[in-house]
Amino acid sequence: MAIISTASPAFKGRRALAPAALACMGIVFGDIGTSPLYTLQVAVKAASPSGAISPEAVIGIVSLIFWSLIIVISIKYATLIMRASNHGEGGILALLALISPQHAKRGGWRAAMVIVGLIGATLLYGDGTITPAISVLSAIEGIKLYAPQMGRFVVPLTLIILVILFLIQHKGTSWIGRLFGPVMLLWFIVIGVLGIVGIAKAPAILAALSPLPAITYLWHVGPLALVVIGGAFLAVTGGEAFYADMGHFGPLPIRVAWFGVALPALTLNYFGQGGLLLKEPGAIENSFYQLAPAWTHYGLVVLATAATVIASQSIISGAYSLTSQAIQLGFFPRMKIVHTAGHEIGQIYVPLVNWLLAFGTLAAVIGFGSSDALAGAFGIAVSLLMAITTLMATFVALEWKINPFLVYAVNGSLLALELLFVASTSTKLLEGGWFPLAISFVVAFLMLTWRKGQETMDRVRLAIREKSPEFIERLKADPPYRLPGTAVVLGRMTHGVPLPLTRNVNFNHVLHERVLLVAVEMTETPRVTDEDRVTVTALSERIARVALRFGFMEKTRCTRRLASL
Amino acid sequence: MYPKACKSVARGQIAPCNLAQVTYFTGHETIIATTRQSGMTRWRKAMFAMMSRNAQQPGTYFNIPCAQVLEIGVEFEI
Repeated sequence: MAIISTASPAFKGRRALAPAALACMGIVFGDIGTSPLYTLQVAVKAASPSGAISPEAVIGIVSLIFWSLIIVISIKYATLIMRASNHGEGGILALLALISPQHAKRGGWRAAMVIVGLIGATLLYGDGTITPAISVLSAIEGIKLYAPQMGRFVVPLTLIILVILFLIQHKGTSWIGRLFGPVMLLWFIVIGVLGIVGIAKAPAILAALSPLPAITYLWHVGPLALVVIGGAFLAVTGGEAFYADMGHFGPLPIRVAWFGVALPALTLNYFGQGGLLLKEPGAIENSFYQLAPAWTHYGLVVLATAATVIASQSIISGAYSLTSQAIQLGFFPRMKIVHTAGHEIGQIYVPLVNWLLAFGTLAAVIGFGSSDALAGAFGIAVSLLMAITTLMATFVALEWKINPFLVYAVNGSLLALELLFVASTSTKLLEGGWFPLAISFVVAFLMLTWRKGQETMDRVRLAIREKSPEFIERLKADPPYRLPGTAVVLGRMTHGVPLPLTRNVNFNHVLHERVLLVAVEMTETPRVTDEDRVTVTALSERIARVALRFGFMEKTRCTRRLASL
Repeated sequence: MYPKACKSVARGQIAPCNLAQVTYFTGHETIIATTRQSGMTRWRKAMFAMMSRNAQQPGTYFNIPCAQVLEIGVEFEI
């Protein structure tokens, strides 16, 4: 994987490094940055079915989390996967477009990869319903730490926050987006400082910097290891965002913000929670909030809630842009997309996706009721998605003629690790893992039906459309009335005469003076250069065929493009 | 507002056109699920037909002024 295309239009709005790094913190690191709220306590609880928390388990799990952050996030996402860029754009659909679904032969490996990639994309919808639910719940659960009677307000409060979040989406969120970066920076500073306090309580936790405690712990713990790995995996669930949002920021600001701020802060915090658990095993009920002194508690709950709302917002915006790309690539029917004011992220709003996500998320909050319960549902979709990303990146890397031994060695080991994550999160299939998977399979089925239906339709269209030479001959032999002006006939294909035009000629016996047969084609690149935008071929002196091309990240503004011809 | 395409295509044989007076033809597609085409079972075709019925009209999707769109019904049996 060696191609980094920085000279793409995706980067034309690139800002100076520091502001870009700050902005990306609010978009890219929301999910991964709020994982400390629940990850360690879920994993340690999983490791201690008897209730007694052993120091080996704590050190082993902190080490496991730390090394997952290093291997899965720092090496795979921050370093390797970002190289698989589709003209600067990343994310599962950009990667899928690199595999060139339009040229997939039926039954070939390409076609198989397209289906695998599509399923990967649909997993994001499953993930998108769970992430806001678990994040906001885990932040709000902080209120019951010092006041257990407040426990009954956790679910209603979470629901209120999420309902407001989904209700304001149609206004566009870019106006508030500029606050996201600074809030997340504050969040990372705070959790880093809290971590230092925790580490100071029991410096023995620093042993977890070595991978050995994780390996020895998992080795000795037996079958429980799988469940523990599944818990620790929650720390890296936000990884896919690195890749998905690459096009907005470029790889460099994401890397700078990750290695410079987020990774150190997360490491300090996980180690701090570990140190706290070594000293006071009773803190397991909420190891994140118990790191903080009591007087800061409610302030921290507010900050955590803000951070989780930011994380949820990124996921929701991500689902909109995923949907818009999927429509453009022909995997979804056209649906209403509102272009809200503003630029870059948060610029589009897809009502249908918003309401379905809202429904799924609220159902998850009500149905599961706590972040610990939701942890079972979380993870499985993301781990599958990560494995699929690695698999597809392998094919792309091989297509790009990168040394196959290197590709197999690196991607093979990553895939092996991720399949381990898939296996470990699958242990929770019955405890809620089915929920995101069910969403994903329904969406995948709809997508595949739409794609297959379109293929069938194209075949039928081609068969019943009149060939253009015959049409022109017929017009000469039996000229219809000539209307003044121009007709633009929109169609899908650059072959034959679109049916609406034939109908008009046959029934009304009229044809405009000038006729443009415009076929809108969606390309497998994110954007189309001006030279590639249009091809015009004259079919007769009155009729011309225009192929109008749009990238999957572009708006299909036909009139404007026709005007600029 | 005079697309060059109209001019360049036939080098003057086609007079310049005004985009505000263009008539846009789009197809209003009705899909009928039958067993004619292979590849999908009939109920899946029916589902596809339903998705197609609920999809946004092409004119809106392609950002065409809707007052200038002439939709012509076309039906497909698949």
